Amino acid sequence: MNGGRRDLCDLAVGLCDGVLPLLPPGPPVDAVGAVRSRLTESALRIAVGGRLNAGKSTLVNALLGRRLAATASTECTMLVAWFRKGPQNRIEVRLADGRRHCVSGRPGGGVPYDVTRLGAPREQIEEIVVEVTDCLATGEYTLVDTPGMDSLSGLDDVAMRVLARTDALLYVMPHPGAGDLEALEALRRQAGARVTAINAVGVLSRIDELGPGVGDPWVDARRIGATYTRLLSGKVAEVVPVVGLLAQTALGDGFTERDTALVRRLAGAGAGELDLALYSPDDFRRWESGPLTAEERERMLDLLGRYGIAVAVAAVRAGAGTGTLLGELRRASGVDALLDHVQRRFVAASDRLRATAALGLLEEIAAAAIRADPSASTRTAVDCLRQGVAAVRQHPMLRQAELSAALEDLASGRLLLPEGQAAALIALATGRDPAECLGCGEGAAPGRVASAAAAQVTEWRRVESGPSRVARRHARTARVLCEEFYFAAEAGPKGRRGWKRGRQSSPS
Amino acid sequence: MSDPQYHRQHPSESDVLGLAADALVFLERDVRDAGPAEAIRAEVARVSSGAATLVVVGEKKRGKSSLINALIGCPGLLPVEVDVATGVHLVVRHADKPGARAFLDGDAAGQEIDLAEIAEYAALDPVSQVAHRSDVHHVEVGVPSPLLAAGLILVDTPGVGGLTSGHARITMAALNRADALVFVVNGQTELTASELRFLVQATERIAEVVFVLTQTDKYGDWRTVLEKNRRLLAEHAPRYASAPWFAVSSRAKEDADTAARAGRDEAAARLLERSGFASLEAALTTRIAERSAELRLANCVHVVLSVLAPIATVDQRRLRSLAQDPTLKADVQSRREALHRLQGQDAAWRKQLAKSSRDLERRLRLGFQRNVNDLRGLVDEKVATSSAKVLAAELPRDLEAAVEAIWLDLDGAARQGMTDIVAEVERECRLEVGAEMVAELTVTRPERLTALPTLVATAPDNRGFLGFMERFMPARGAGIVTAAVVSAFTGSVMIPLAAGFGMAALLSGRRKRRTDLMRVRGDAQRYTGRLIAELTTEIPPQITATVEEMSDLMAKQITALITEQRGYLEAELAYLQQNLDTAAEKLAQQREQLQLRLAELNGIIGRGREAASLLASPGEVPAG
Repeated sequence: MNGGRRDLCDLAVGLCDGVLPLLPPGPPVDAVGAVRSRLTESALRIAVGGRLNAGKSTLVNALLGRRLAATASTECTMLVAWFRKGPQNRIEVRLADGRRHCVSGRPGGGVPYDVTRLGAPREQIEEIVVEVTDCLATGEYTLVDTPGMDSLSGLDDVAMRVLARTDALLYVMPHPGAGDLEALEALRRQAGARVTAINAVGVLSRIDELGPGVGDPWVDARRIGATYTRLLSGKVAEVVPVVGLLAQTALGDGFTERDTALVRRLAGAGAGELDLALYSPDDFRRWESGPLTAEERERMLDLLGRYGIAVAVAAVRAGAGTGTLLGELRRASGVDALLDHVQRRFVAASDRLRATAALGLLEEIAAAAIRADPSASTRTAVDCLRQGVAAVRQHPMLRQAELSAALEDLASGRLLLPEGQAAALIALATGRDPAECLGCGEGAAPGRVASAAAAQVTEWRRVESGPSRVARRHARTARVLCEEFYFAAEAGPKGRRGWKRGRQSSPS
Repeated sequence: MSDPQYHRQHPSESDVLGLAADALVFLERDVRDAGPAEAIRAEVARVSSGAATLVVVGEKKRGKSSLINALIGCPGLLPVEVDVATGVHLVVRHADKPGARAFLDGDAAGQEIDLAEIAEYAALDPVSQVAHRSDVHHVEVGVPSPLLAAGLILVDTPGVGGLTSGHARITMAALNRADALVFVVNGQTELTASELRFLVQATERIAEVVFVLTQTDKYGDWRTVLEKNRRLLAEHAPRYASAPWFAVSSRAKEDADTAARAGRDEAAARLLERSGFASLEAALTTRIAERSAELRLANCVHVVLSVLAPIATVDQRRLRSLAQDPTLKADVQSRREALHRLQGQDAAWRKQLAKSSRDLERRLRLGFQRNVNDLRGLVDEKVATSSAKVLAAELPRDLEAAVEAIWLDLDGAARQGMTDIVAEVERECRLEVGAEMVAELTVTRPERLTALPTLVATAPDNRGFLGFMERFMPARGAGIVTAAVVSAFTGSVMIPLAAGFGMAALLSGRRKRRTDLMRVRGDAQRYTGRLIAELTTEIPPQITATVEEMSDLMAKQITALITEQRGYLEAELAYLQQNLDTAAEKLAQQREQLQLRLAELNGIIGRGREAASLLASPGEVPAG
């Protein structure tokens, strides 16, 4: 483990290269080739899923920093849309029969609201790929917007298929419930148990609509987020509350000086009058006696919503300019916590997530190949593939993935450890290289790493003989991981190369 | 409970009761299944006078409780919270003095409680989402209210679609006493597929549904949503296409009431107009409160029609066959062949089942072996690091705990494995003959599985592990536990497993040997050796036997289901064949008989439809 970010993916690519010549021509070769080319992409694929009107497209726009996905108050997204950075602003339309063509998007970029502008009827379109020259994603991840599930348009299958092809999931829900639980369960089954708390984060969306819809929703939102983090533990890593609309505006480029001027005019209105106008969106729209025209009021509601208007007016009254105002909106939206999660859980673990997804797919391909054609040559090829997959799975970083389950249990209270051990477990699970995992600090000498590993092995062994079954299970994983670090450090540079050859050289 | 004040004979009552009687005569004479007749009888029994019961249903967090609070003008009466709040159903009726009664499980009389205590009895704790009290069946509330005095009882239900299991069941049970329904949605999103499914299920015996879209004060685009809902209903559930919709804001109504009480009449009038409650209340009064008798009669007609219509369809089919309709024969034959394929010995699902069972058995044995190896390692370490006295005291207890853990592990893995196998086999069947056929063969699985109890919950103090086992396992032993857990997952194939891994004998043996050890004073290694030897001899065959048994049972069950289905089809085919062979005149006779029967049936159905249109609300086209 050279601390490189592509170790696991490189190993998997090596595996694919080794197996491709052995497989007979046909679907398995194509499938393995597809897995290989996906591994050579450098971007992590993050899908945004959820039920109808959960706020997925709004969240996608917030994460991209541009209003590219179409949003509306009733069902709007009915296509799978991939968003990434590209050399020019365009939309590639991929049809179900394999043909592709390009169209230009909305002026300024974005998916057209009118589906007919895509040049083909919606039923024939498999997916669209939206490329933009500048957005926040910076090439570390590709976002996929999906059609809402549980809609009467019956697009659940479409959404599920895509969600099974991605590496990580943001699951958006305004009121977590049985429908979301079923959807997550169905996703897990569809994706071959690859969608779990390790690569899924829940988003509690539209929190500005909690309760009566006016006033500060954050106290309630945090409480509800904590409750559903607990109730959905194991399925999603955490439920993060967010005001999608404000995030979309604060991170986007649609809010200009002119809009700040509008907010200033609003702030000039009498406080009582503004409160009355903010009683409901209808009231605000009909506020003829207010300082804004009908069109301007519509724009404010569209950009900020009632909660956002209240926050903006308060900020402006305290003397904020456009920059500070956007900062206030960003803070009120709670999107930074979500971005932090995306960074920590997804982007930082990109190598592992992509490799895990690829290995899972390779296993499925192996099983399907054997079912379809049980001849001897296929069997040898499949055996070789399976062995290769098993060898890559021995890699300590993948073992680290198993520790994420331990983190969930720690967070939910099912696993109880003394302070020091809990910290050690967290370090093991989230470190990016052996030294960091063992708490040795950057660039520690192999000798130090080895002795730290040995010390931890004894510790974890002691926990393994304790009474708690949960602790024993996780302690075993931790111990095995430390042992591998120990052997790798002991063996030195030769040992490290040994990983690439699948553990033949390390004693066990 | 019939209140003499409300008793009046409805003009159509004798017609409808006569209709129901004719239908019952027909069913008793010609149909063997007692279910439909029971349903009609139950509906007839409900046709007695009294205030109309209006049940408010909908998905969670749509604003049902706030709606009722606003309708009766008592803010905060029914529990409302930012997250899910209502946990049981609440019945609200008119009373001269405000009061409440809580009915606990098994208590028919109920006990008086304070209005302020309603939340404690009926609501969920917001943070943990668990009911404050688990023994409450329902709560009845009496408040003075002009709307209720007009002859209305309102029932609030827990929303469906939440994460607390059991709410859907409570709601469906509450629907048994409903004369009409209020289906509540809000302006956040248009109707979802699961909401529509719930709507169809909820209105199985109810003819009158009023749709209310709430929270118009929160969602600015509610008009778009309302339009979309109307379109969706017209397209996917035309029965409700002409049902009335009301868009309201409970918050505005509450604020209007507060303003009126404070004497600010102008603000009150404005808010009241905004709330849209006036038309809703008027509609509820005219459509429901004043028509309670009609509603019940309409429900009666509705049930009669829904029972007789499928019978008429089957008879039509029979008539077609008597008329020697060739397409019918081809139809039945193709279905029969599909089932034949499924039934065959080399059907794909059988192979899948066999293979999956072998895989499962292998996995279980491997897991078990690993656990045993770990056990040995642990013991070795303990023996190496502890003194003899400590060992004598602690080792047996630790070993017991470890053995029980191994058994729990095995049981959990077996359960999970079975679940997966059921899913795979089902998928295989589906691939073979298409989803509709499988839908006929199986019962829906998902809800049952998600309601699986978690077998092990780690107690906060780890020392209590053994104590936990004693609590969970009754004195009879572990075999019973497996049965209870596995039978909770009845799933698509009802597997009455009597004993998964019967550990009873093993465990009782353990306790005896503990005393042995005390006497022998610490020959720990031998003790462990004996234990492990016993484990490795007794358990692996048990594993094999159990997996085989489970897989056999499942295969038998599926085959039985398929055979049963095929039996029906064979019978139909035989009937067809018979008709083909029979002489023409005999056929003509049978045709005539069937036509007479069909005419009688259609006569009753026709009268039913007429009655339904008479009983329908003014301006509404009745369904069916």
